[in-house]
Amino acid sequence: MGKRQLGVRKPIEVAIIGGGCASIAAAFELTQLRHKGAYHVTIYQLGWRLGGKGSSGRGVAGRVQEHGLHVWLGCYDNAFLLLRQCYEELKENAKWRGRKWDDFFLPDPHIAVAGISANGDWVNWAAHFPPAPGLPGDPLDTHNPFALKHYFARGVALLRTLLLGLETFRASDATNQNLDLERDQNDSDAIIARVTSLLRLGALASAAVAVEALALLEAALKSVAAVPQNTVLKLMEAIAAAVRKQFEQLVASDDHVRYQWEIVDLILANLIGAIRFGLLTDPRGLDAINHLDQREWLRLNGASERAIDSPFTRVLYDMALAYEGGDANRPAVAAGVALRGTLRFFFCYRGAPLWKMRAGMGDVVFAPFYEALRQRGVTFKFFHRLRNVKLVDASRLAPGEKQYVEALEFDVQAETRGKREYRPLINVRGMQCWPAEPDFRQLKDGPRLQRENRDFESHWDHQRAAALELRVTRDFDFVVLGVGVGALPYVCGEIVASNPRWRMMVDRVKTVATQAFQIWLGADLQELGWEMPPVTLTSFVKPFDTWADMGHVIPAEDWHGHPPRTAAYFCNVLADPPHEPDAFDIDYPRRRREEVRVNAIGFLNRDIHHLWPKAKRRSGEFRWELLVNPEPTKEKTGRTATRSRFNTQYWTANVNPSDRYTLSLPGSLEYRISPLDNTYDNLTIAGDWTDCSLNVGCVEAATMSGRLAAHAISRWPALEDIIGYDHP
Amino acid sequence: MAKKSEGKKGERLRRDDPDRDAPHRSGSDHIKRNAGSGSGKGGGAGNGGNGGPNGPKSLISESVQQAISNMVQLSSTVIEEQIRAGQTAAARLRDGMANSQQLNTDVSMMVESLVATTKDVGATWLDLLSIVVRSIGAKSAGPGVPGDRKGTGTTQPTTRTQTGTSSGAITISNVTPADPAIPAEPPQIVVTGNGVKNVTLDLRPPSPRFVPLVRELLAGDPKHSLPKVKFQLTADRTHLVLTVNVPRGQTAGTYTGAIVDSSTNEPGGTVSVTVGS
Repeated sequence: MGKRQLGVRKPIEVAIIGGGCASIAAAFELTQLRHKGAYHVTIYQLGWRLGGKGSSGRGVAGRVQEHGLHVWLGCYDNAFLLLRQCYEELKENAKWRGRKWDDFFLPDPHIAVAGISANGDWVNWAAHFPPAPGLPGDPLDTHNPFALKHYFARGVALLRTLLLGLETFRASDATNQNLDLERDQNDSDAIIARVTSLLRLGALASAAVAVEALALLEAALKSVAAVPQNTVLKLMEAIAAAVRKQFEQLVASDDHVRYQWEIVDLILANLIGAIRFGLLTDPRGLDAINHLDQREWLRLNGASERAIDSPFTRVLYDMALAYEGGDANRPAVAAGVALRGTLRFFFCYRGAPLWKMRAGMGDVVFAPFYEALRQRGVTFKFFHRLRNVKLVDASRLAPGEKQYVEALEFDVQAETRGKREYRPLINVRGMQCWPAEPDFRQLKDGPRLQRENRDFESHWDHQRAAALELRVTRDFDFVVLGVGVGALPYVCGEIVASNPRWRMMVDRVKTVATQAFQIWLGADLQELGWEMPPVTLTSFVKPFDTWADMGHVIPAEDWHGHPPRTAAYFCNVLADPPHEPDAFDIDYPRRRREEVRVNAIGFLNRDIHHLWPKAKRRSGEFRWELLVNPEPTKEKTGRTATRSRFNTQYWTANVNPSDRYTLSLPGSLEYRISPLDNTYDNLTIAGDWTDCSLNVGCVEAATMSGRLAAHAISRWPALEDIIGYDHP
Repeated sequence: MAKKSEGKKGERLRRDDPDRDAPHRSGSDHIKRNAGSGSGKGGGAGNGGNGGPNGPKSLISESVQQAISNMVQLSSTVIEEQIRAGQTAAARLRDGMANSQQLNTDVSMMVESLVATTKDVGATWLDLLSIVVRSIGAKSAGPGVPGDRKGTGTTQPTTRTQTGTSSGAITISNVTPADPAIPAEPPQIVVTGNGVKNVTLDLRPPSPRFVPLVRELLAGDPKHSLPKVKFQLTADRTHLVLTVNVPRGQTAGTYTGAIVDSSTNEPGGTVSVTVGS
């Protein structure tokens, strides 16, 4: 597959469009040593940096400025596998010698959610996830995390842990358990609280019995052919209904137990649903319920409204940015995709559930990949904007020949001085990093381009220095199209117009704009009033429902002896405007950024004190002086800090079509096209928007897709070696 | 092998159609694929082509399947009864709100009873479950099931029990290893302090690497706890000892808690201590 005839030494030319996770994974696989140089890859990249939605840049004071919040999950086996190979390969590279992948990842066992308490306040719930054996990306020779047996065993263990109130849940004794019944016998409220507390324990004990039944169920599920499913379902429903009835009466006023119960309720609903919908035997696996929204699926399987509205359900939507049109009132995620992601997240992580990078994602991931690929002979063409994928005229096809890509048309956004290779990386504290801006000194007419404040990543900036057409056989043999799905209508007009499947994919696989901001603070978390460990917290209030403490990144920045005490990243969706901007509305990104700035200031003034109670003034306003100005000399002295201090921080509106986050809406998954699809026999696609099995917007899905694209061209890696591809 | 284009200059390369262009999703396929061989092939799912439609039809004997079916139905009845008892107790509690003195006694008794019953029934079911799982392992046989620990044996799990007394308390030490390779010697139980009626240890190490850790034992009323219960090695580091230190004035009641692995938090048994009044 994909090999030239014997005796022909010229390598096969592969043009990869875009430099995000999927494209890089495809390039990495196609240039593996095992291919012995059979493929020469050229990556064509818009602007000055790789990374796509995972790009980052170093700004003033060497600050890491991310496209959004990026935290890798401990179940990202494909992504970690390739990245670890990359670091291994760079061992002998002078710029990377001695650096190991785990020097740049911080295992984070803490995850928190925020919810509204019984009395209307925000209350935070943090869980510590015990370390799981191994490290992400370790070989899986003796351990298959995707067996149903494994999932159910872990599920039962989790239920047991929750119901028996181990560790995390027992830590706080914040309820009224210390009341003395004798003393308070005339206080009816105290007695009720006391009885509720004790009764709750009784119910917990009963529920523990139910958990043992679940263990039995686990055994039954192993022989689904033997046990009538309605028997299993009846058992499950009996357990769930009785346990729910008891708990619902007891937990309304007790936040601690309520959270605990909501998780149990959700697990029970999913177990019941797995039986009711025949997921264990359905050849479609979890895809069989992708026509349903996650909440709808839970409701169908008996989850209480309390659990459906709980932060533990909301967290799925927040983490997957699953709000259609960026509208907080339109949450939607396909149930099968959500369940698959949940199973992998909870039960397949290794080491820790979360791994935070110790620098920008560009620096930790894309800079080493750039170096390793370059070392392998990959060519990088920066400042190339794809304009059109041109198909061959059908009238010129031989009988039986499939349609193919005849040409790729680009705008060259800028040319380098003396046609030299553009060198994109800079050195920050000894680390190879991507800058937040292009190096104009390397560009022809660089000073002018800088004066014009050119935004090479803007969809609305159409200026070009030249045009370029690549022709099949002359310039490329195969194409990997790795742009975001949002960009397809603009670069694949011919295909979308002529191919109904592509048209449906473009129409149904929707994306959402995102917003993010980062602040650097002169106080640590304790001084801000946050009493839990440094966490990643989600399910908080809109417009920024997710916060991650990123203080560990500061040592990689360049603060010249006055580093901030911590850094906080926030992100969420950004609502679409009622009407799409005009194709030449070059000011559109600036307006959306201004919108994000206003959102962030409002959020800090209005909401952040729920997390950081000591971050507000008596007036209720945010303490703007907490924000660390990276250029204090430019600030007027002797004045109290105002909201204008926020302008020294970083924020972004990700509104470019290719930057928009891919959604997994109910009823949309079947319209995705696989990288293995061979409709156009010299074109494959790559990205988290393709049918890559995981099918949710994330680094792992993109990496899987890139590996599939490489398989489509070279038959390597084997599909069985793409971890999690054959997942129920 | 790439093919040449027929209608052009003889140079265009094209991809062959793939063997498949969608993942294997079926959960039952997974059971089959994952049940036959212990040799993963680099990747996680799929397992090196052992499964799929040509995998083993059934790995569980009819008799074991029937046993599971019966147990599911039996357990359904037991659970219903247990839950009904809990609901009755709850109703009594609500009805008895007017009489707080009686309520106090009732609540305590009910909680003690529920905790004890839960523990007993749970332990019994765990035993049954272990037998079933072992039976499945015996029939599915082969070198083991990926995802399982090595040595999914053909032997049934055996419980070894050691009874005795310590400081006037009756001690029962059970150990039921999940794997025959795990040492099955019941830990000695040493009680210090007075007023302890009995101590029951039910240790179920899931792996040879299991290092037991006792969480704080709680009474039915969580206001009362028994924190000084821990595992120790003997001086020659050859035997495990559970020490139970009950301070003077400890409130009477049954204190229970889970045993977990000290590094992974995986549950691996229970301890209960009854302190008399």
